[in-house]
Amino acid sequence: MIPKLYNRIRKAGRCLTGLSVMAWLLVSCSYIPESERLIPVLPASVNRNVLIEDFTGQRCMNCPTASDIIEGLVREYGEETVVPVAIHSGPLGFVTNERFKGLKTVTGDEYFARWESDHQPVGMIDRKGLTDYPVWGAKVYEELQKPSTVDIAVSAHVTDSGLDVAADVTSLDGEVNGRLQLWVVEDSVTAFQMMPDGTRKDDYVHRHVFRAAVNGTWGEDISVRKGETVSRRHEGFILDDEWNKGRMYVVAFVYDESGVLQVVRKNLSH
Amino acid sequence: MIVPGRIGRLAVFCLILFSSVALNARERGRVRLVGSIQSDILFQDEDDDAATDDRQLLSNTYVDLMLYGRHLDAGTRIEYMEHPLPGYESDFKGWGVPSLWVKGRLGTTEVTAGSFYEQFGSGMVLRIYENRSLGIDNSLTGGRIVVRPAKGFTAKLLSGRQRRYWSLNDSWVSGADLEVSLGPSITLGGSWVNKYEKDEFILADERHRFNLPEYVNAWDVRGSWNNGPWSLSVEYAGKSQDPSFDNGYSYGKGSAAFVSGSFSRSGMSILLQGKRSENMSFRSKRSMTGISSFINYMPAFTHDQTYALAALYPYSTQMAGGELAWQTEIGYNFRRNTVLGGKYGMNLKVDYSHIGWEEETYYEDLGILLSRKWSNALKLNVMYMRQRYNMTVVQGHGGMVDSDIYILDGKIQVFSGFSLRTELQYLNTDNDEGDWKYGLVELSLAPHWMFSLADMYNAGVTREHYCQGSVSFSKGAHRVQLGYGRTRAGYNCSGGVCRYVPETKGVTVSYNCSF
Repeated sequence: MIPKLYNRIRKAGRCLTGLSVMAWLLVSCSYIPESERLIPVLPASVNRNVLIEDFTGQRCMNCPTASDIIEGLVREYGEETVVPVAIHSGPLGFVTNERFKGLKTVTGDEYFARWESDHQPVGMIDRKGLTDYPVWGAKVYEELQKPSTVDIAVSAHVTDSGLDVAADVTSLDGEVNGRLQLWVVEDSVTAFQMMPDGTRKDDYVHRHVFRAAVNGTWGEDISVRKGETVSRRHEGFILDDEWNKGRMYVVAFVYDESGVLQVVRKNLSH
Repeated sequence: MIVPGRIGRLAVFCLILFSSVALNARERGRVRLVGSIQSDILFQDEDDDAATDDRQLLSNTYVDLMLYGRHLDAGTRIEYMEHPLPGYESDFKGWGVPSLWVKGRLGTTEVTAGSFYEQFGSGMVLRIYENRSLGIDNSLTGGRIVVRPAKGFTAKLLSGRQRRYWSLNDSWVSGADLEVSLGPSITLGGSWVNKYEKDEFILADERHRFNLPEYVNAWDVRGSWNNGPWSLSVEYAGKSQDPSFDNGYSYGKGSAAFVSGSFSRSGMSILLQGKRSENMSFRSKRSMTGISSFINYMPAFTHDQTYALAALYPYSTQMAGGELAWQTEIGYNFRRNTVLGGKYGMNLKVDYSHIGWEEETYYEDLGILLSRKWSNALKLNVMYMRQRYNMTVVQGHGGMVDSDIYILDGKIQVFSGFSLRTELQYLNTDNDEGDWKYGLVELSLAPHWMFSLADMYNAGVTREHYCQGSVSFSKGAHRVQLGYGRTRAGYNCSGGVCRYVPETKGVTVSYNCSF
């Protein structure tokens, strides 16, 4: 029995030694020292604007982290080039009650349901599919460098009867058959937010808050031939008295099955 | 391999053809055809405002077919989840033939080609498994070799791509495992797992991207000893740099240690185990979120609770962060015809779990369960549980939930083949939604019929009732259950993994069959 046991131990020892050496070699090969962990990247050459739809919620602990990613991209490329919209929605969104202000909207929930998201935060870059926030930077970088096929000029004027919005869409390359979407967005709204450490911050400043769709939840059909311009006008859209019109702007974008073709933003004028 | 549509139908046709031949051969004792059907169906109420799918009929259906021969086995599984039950990830939806495999055996060697499941040790570096209630199936598609050259000596080698719902992740997972029994008492083992995943463009900030390692390695060593009533298991695992979404793209290495000891003799049992893990989330896709694509599995350190209110706040293992957990269970059987044991004996079980990290408690419970038979017909279980559940850590909201849970479970054998069981449960807490009450009546007409009626009532914030009734019939290999009721939204956790389940209301039908 002892010789048998000894032979087994020898065989096991040889195999384990072989495995250990192999494992050690592989572990050694895949180690990246601290000085080599970041690779410099040149800023993207900007050929178009990019829309970020951020499905967020006031009860979503990880959403402030996603918001920080967005603010970094806006700082880098400018708020006219990277156009984020925070759509408060889903099970972690919050509706106003007697104690707290909520930013969730019915329309926002329609968008959340349409894209069938099952977690938050989650977003879309130029409506190219749902993605998580660690890859938003790379997706924006990629989208910025694509050529723009559409040009949009927008005016947004507040009158006594409401908001008048006009959009001129010009095709730069080939015929465009898609939809024109017009949103009103309010920046820097103070309301509570759950933070990553589990605490509630009651004076959190929410950026780029989606308020309403001016021309319907999914926008309106638009067809533009190459070199031509098509205009759309909407008058008398009612702005809620609770909204701060001085911090509001219109986001206008054209999209089709391939995604968002171009997006612009325009501050409200009085 | 994922084979929907035409190729899937061809695969099923081939298997049915092979089955027909095999059925003939079966009569000559050479090949066995076995299989199973599992179908869970929900007919949603038309006025169910909480419904997440406009369709009324939702179903998860699985059909497994296996052929076992002298040297060759083969199998396949057909899945239909085109309109799945609520509470699964959105990519869970689909249908096709996600599993197809062939296994050959010759002497001490076994070779598998196709889809397979495997576990090394406790699973801390590799656990490939299926859990249908959670929607987990992370099978590998590739090849595996198992060699048993001598008694007590097993070596395994495998490589493949991992399934994620209806596709395969691009990365390759490879591994080797060696286990040796040094006599009847001692077993030693070691494993190594490698993941190869191509580089990816992920920005660290606006001016830098991460330099991501293409090879990630995990390894473990383990040993176990058994001698009479004593047993001891130890395991240590490590992981190389693995920047991922789970760990915020950090370059720290992962590690885990696990120790378990137990003693069992003469009506007494003691279990004591501890675990420390840090940064051990190991996926086949570094940017993945949710419950899919895990290569490994960290053992859960909480007891699987079967009572409804004891399972109301289930804990899920924190893979990416750190955890320090320990668990103990003491059981004692008071013998019959003693003062405490009474005429039929009594069993006492005390268990305690604590999980936390850096002075923060994630989960803690203390449970005391008394089981006693009072007569030939009557058996009672009485349980008290004190629970602390850090809802913020597990679910992302809610703070700490402290609760006391009281349970009375009685079973009466009215006459042979006819038994009645009732449960009364009460959860008392000042946190979350407040107190809960639960009642269950279960009537069993052996050997075929079972009737049950249950109600879970929130006596705290919502004052909502969640009633459910069901009838089940089983005969031979068949079991069918018909039910109606309303379930609350919550988390379904099993073995350290949880998924969110939305509220449902409607008729449920479940059918299971094995052949």
